[in-house]
Amino acid sequence: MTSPEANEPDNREATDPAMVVRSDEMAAVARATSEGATAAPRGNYIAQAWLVLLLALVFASGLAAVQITLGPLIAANKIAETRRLAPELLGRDQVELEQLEIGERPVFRATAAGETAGWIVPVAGQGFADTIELIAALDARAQTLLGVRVIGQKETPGLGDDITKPDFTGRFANTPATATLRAVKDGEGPGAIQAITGATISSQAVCAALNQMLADADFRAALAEAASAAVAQPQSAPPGSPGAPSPEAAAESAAPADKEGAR
Amino acid sequence: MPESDGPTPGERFISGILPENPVYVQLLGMCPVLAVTNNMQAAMTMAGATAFVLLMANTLTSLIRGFLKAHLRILVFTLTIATFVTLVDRFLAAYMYQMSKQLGPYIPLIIVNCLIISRCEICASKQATRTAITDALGMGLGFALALASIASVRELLGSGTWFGLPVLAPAGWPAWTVMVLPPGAFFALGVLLGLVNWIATLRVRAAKTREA
Repeated sequence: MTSPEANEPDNREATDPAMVVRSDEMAAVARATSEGATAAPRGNYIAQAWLVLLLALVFASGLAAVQITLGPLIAANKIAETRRLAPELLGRDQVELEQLEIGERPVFRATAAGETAGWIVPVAGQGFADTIELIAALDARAQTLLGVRVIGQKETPGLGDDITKPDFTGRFANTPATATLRAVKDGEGPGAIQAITGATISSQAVCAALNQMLADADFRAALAEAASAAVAQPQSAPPGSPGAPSPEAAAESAAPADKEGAR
Repeated sequence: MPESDGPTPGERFISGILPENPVYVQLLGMCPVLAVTNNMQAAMTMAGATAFVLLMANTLTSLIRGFLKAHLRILVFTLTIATFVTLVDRFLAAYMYQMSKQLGPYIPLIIVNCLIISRCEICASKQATRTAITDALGMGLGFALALASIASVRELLGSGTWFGLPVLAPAGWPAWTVMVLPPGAFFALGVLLGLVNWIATLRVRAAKTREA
């Protein structure tokens, strides 16, 4: 009869050599670590990490300088891109954009043949990886969302970046601007946007960014006021003399638009 | 630091181009190789961006190699690489906006391109700055040539153009759309990789028969 106690020494013999080797290795590691620690005082994190901290500081200031230098150029590129996409979003052959500030948001008023064709509102929201930048087009009365385009994103290639495809952005066309947009699996009704398979977070992020703008009561009220003024203006003014800001605005925005066309 | 225990600057430069080509031999950086090679402009922008980041990271790592702590070195490499990648990303967004939109997240993904961190680890953190620079140039050129070979095949067969110029298209080439789509990347890489290995085998066999 073999008792557990009788077995125990055998077991220990079987496992011991491995344990000895392991503890030897650990001792070696411990020795190496303590040698390293004597070179730099133990627990002195600055002595260990000064290079990392210094590099982080230098790199961060360098990148800040780069951002200050290139930031305006990148912003100008985004405005040029908005001008390029505007006609297609509003369903016009040619529109002129006038940059305004309504309710503390930058907004572009699009005019075609002297009358307001719609409003383009840049919006941004946190996506899956980085900020998603969008432009949303509203009709002249700011009552309907005519369309959406993505102008900046760094979502997962092959999944999240499908939000840039017309197949997805087209789902926002002709949505009532009063509806709350929601990314759905399946369903209908105002504001129901079918989400992309494998990109639920990105789809929701686009809806959330737009909702943030659409649900901004102060902004919507200011925009509605501007829209009713703009729509009323051409009717009240005699045909020979259009509204005062129009010729200047047209001249201002026509120059870049022409350049875009020439390119 | 002794200079003798490592390849010379010249050897580093040459080995990056073919004997240790990052794509065909080391199989590193497969993400950009597969993702941005459907046309030459995108592939060459990616190659330029990668080569710039590699050169800067290698140079800087080599300059500070005396101060590197073994357990913090990967952190320093990543920090350096990420900085220069961000610089490239902002530069492209400012001066090549359409290309920046086309490449999208693939530019930030250069940070995780193993090619760059492997050169910091293998060469720059151990060898003199001159060697690290030629290593970066050789590897950068090798990566560019590999991207160019794959992008040429894909753009010519897929769109009938090269650098956007009509080459095969006027001759009535039916563009094989699949070649510009993701599967085309695997087809092109597989066939070219096979070809490179086949040539290497032939050369080894030829060398053996010459010896015998």
